[in-house]
Order: sequence, then structure tokens, then C-alpha cells
Amino acid sequence: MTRTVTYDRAFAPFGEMYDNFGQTTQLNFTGDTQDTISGTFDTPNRELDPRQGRWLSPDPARAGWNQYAYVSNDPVNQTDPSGLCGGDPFCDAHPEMIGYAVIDMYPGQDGIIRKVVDCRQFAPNAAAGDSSSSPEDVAEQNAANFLAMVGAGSGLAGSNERLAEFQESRAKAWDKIATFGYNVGRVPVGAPGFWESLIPVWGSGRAAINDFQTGHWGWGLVNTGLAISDVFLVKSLVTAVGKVGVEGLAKLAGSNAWAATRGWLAREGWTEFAGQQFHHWLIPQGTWGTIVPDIIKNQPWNLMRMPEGAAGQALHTMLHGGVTSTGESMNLAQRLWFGSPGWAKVLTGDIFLRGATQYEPEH
Amino acid sequence: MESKFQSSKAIKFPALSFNAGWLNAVDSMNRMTRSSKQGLKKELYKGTVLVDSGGNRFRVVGAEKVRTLVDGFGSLIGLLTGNPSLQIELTISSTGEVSLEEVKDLISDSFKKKEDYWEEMTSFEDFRDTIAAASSLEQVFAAFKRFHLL
Repeated sequence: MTRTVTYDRAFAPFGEMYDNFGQTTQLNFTGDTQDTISGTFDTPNRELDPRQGRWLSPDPARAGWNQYAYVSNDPVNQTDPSGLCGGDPFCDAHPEMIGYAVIDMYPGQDGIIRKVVDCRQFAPNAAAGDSSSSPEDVAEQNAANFLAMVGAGSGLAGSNERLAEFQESRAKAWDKIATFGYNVGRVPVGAPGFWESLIPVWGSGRAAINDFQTGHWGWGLVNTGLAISDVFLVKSLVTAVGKVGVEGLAKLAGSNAWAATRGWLAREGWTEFAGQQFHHWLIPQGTWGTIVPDIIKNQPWNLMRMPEGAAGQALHTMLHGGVTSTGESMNLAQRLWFGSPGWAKVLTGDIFLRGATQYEPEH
Repeated sequence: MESKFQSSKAIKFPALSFNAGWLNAVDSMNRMTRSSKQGLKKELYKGTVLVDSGGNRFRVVGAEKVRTLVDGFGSLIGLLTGNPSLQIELTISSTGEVSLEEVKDLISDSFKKKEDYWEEMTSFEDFRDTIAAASSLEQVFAAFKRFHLL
């Protein structure tokens, strides 16, 4: 009898195809269909790139330390047709538990307390908000629900071991709660939303706390720096408003020509002595500043008072790019530093740090 | 720190300095001992004309670095960006005497060349008129004092 090979397909451990013959609709890598253009395998939950040997997105169940690794980089012994929980058969069998108790079965950064919290979330009734129950009652009820679902005798591989591990961790959790109370290590405060993050001190402070709680120390330091610079920013803005007064924030009434503004400065008591020089620190009077309307550039916020005497005049000269009698001059960095008010420096630093935090990954 | 003089005359402070159109009042010799690395390297001091209150005219012809100055956070900015403050020793040459009209012309020249800068002085017109009306060098220096440039 003659037999004919109608199809033949073979894959290396991570799904790299090395033989492909015949019709293409059957027997793909671990049963998943392959995108013929991108070459990725589509599982029900995410895509696997066989060339990189890794998932293109993190595990939706958040299982394991490396949520992009395919079956913990052990493809010779394990497969993951669903794309969940690193191929764990227990997790695959209970997709409704993803995000709740199943996570507890894996080592997590948050430790034991997190398991109790997740366990509480597990109960549908508790999620609806049963205010009559104490946290302990809710936790117990959730634990009972959890045990009923995953407990011994369910027939799932490894379920007895998981049950034992869960009971042990729950006991440790109660000990910890008894010592520290419910607020210790419970859940991170959470990252602020976009608009909330813009609130000085509060937004960056909350982000910093969340970073430290989730173990992101570098970003925690950045956000702490931002919170501190926010404090200085608020202080200098409050001081500036106090000094300037509301009417000084925008000189809108009357002419805004420089000659008129100088008169206004003298009348309103802005000048400290005869002949005081006011440096247009951001938008200059001349050069490119001539295209900016007077109503914008001849405002108190753009004017920096120069000190009295020869020292003040020398400073002003150098801020204009000039030279003193000894040839002393400033480079751009020095002109920016000495030629801008304190609040502008703090504001710039704050904006810079805030911009950097926009690149912070969500956690 | 003293400057080297190529004549027997010493500067009688206060004085006025004119350098590339910039006019600066100089109240003491201390102000003449500080420069920057950039200024020294590019010899920006060269050609500075000094007019002292005694009616003498001087010219800065040379400068030497004595040491780098680090005095406060501001000087660190210069240090980090390659333009630190330096203590210097100037070589000054006396070029004779100067008349009131010559001084007024030098000042007026600066008013014209650096108009944007002078315009930022609140009572600039008063100052300019006072200088123009001055009938002696003393009155010129008195105007600088009155308008707090000295």
C-alpha cells in the first residue's frame, strides 16, 4: 500500500518553524493559529513571537516574575496554548479566577498581605460592598469560597499542594495583620491619574509613595525630588504673588509701552532707588523681543530688578552679553542662571522632572 | 591685588570704563581684579578705556591670571560650564588727560550703541539729560552716584 504525506510541519521549542509542507490549516504550534504575515502565534489571550521566543505582551494573569517569558523559558518541557499563567494547567482551567486568588499561588512583590486582599476581592458578594460584614468576616468568607473552588479533591494537578500553600500563607497573613493592622502593606496607594499628577506636591507625593510601595525605588526618588521641588515652587509662587500683589501680575490698564511702564513701576513703588535697572529676563526689549507685543513683555513677571551700584550695573551688562572693564563676561549657562528669577528656576526644574516622569511605566 | 601701571599715575577712583560700547562705573580697584576665563582667553579686556575722576585717561593693555575664584554657588556654574571667575592682574597704561567733552562723547556713544540696555534704566532720560548738562567731570560722577550706578 502506498501512503502519501499530505502535510508535515515541525517547530523548534519556542515555535520557530523549520519544516512546512502541505495544507496550512492543521496542527500548528501547540494548536495555535499562526499569523502568516507577522509570523506570530495567536493564543486566546496574547501573541507569541517565535523568533524572539517571548510573548509580545505581559501575562494578563500577572503570573511569575518575567511576564513576557514563554513557559519560564522552558519550552522543551512545557507548553502554554492559552497564553495565561505561564502555561499553568490550574490557571488555564479556572480563567474566572484570574486577577484574584490564582495570583496568590505565585510569589509576588507585595508578599503575604496582598494574598489576603486578593482573597477578599475574590468573593462576588464582598465586591458588591457588604458594609455589615467586618473585614475579618469578609476574608473568611472569601477564603471559604476560594477553598471550595480550588481545594483538595478537585482533581487538578497540584491542587493539594496549592491548598496547603494557601492555608499556610493565610495563617501568616493573619499573624501579620494582628501585629501591624490592616493598613500595613495592604495595597499600594496607586499611581495618580494624569490631572491628579499635575497637582503640586499631592500628585508627585502620591506617585512617590506608590513607587516605593511597589518597589520602584528609582522612580520613587525622582517623584520625591519632584514633590520637594513642588514645595519650593509653591512657596516661591506664593511669595511672588504676595510681593507683586494681584494688580502686579498683569499690568493691563493703560499703555504698555516701555516708557509708560517705567512710569508705572515708579508710581507703584516697584523701583527701590533712582536709576534702577529692570532686566527683561525672558523676552528681551530688543532683538527678537521686538516682535513680541508690549502687553506681554513689559509685565512685572518679565522684569528682574538689578541691584544697586557698580556691581549691579556690571551684572546687568553681562546679562546682556556685554563685557566689563576687565573683560569679564558670562556664557549662556551663567546668563540663564543669574538672569532668571528664583521662581522661574524652580518652575523649570519642576517641568523637567515632571516631563521625565511621563516616561515612567505604569505599575 | 594691585595692577601694574606703565606710568607713574595711579587711578583715582571712582572711574568710568568704556569697553566695546559698554559703559561701566568702577568704584574701586577691587572691581578691576576680577574677570572670567572666557574674557581672559579672548582678551576682551584689551582696549578698555578708563577715565578716572581726576580727569586722567588709561588703557588696559594686558592681563594675567592670578588664581581661580570659587566663591559661592554661582561661581560653580561658571566652573562647571568652562567659564570660571578669575582673579587677575591688569596692566594699565596711562594715555594722558581727558576733557569733559570727550567723556561726554564716550558716554553718549554708549547710550547710542547699547540703547536696549540703557532703556531698561527706569529714569534713563533724566540720567542722560543730567550727563548732557554736566559742566564738570565732578558733575558727571555725581550723576552716576545720584542714579545709583556708583
